[in-house]
Amino acid sequence: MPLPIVYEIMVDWDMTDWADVPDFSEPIDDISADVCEVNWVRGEEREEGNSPAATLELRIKGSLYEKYSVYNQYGDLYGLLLPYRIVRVRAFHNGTPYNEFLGFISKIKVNPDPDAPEVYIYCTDGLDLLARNVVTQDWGTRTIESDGAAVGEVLDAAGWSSTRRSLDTDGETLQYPQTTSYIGV
Amino acid sequence: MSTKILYPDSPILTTTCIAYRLSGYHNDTWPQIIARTASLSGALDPPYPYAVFIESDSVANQWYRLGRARVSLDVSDLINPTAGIFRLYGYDKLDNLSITPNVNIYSGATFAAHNTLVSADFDNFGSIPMCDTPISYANWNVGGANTFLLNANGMAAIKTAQAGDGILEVSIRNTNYDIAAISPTWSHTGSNDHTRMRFYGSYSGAGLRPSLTVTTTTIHPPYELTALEALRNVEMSAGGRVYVDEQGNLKYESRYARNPT
Repeated sequence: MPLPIVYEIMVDWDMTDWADVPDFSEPIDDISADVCEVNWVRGEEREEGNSPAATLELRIKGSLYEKYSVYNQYGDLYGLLLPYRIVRVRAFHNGTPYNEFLGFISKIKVNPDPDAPEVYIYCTDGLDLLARNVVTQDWGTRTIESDGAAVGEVLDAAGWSSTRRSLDTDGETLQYPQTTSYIGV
Repeated sequence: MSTKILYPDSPILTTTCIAYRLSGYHNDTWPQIIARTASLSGALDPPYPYAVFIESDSVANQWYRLGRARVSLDVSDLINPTAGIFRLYGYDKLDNLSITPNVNIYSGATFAAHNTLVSADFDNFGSIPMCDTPISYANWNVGGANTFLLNANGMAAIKTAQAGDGILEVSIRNTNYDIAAISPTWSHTGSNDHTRMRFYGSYSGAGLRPSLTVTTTTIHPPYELTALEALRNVEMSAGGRVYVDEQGNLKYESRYARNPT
């Protein structure tokens, strides 16, 4: 008989900075028992040739709509149901964890219809967050550097953690524009 | 990189001018004449301004007139000026006093206005050299261009003007006596005994009037874009790929890593 796969879904509800290392040690962080369906999409788009942000959809048990209502001041998550909380999904098989997704909450949808309540949590990965993070580039000031170094410069400007990146720097060197944190123009 | 040639307004003095002042007091010692706070004569928009004018008095070691000239230019439209050459086209020169003066251009003037001339302007000419090499009397080119390559002070003066009202004031003064505050050797052999170096001023046509040729470097102003757009640009230029893996780590694979040989 094959061993079952068990999914663990954690949310760092009390995080303060999206770039921080997530801490899933709070009892409320483990929402595995609340989730009844998990769907995610990731990978490279053949037509575009690049990798769009991965998406994760969590269907929560409808009976828990009060817990996930941002208006329920008596709920454990009151005040914590905010976008860009870090979400992690891991699959356990035979006691071994396999990472499946680590990203951010982008939207929480709660339908409190008493006959058919629904709760969904929609998540995206860091690429979506970077798509909302504005940086400044100066095309008059250029640095001859590798493509990986140029990527690192963009990530630095965006505030992306230096410990959560892996960059090849063996590409050809080109004159990349200087990238800095958003300074306004 | 491109160049732009600027001329002062003439003959309609809208915002800028060409002008000179002559001190014009009898019986001044040299320290007195260079420290005069007003002057008795001058000309706004003259055809042949004095780059240098020194006239001795009939009394030994006393001086009658000292000249200083000015040219103002609108530099407000220059974008990222990186170098400049100021030109005066020589009209004539005369050294009755045999004192071989030289001439240079200076910034730091505080005139009453950029397109008018008043007596008190004489005391408000600049004294910060905008060029490292004054032009000697012997090298004053009559009928041709006398060029002053702007130094760091000169370029800074342009940027200061741009940060202000956009008008650059260039003072044209004798260096070895007026600026140096050293008296020339006095001599006087008759009336109107003077030394001068003149340049073409107003009504002289664009080819002969004072000018400032500025080299500008085209710049691309900083602009905003999303971090993801910036990453996609690198992707496209280098053939790599950016993605976030299952552990939330952002990865960049170069095209060599993606297509190992």
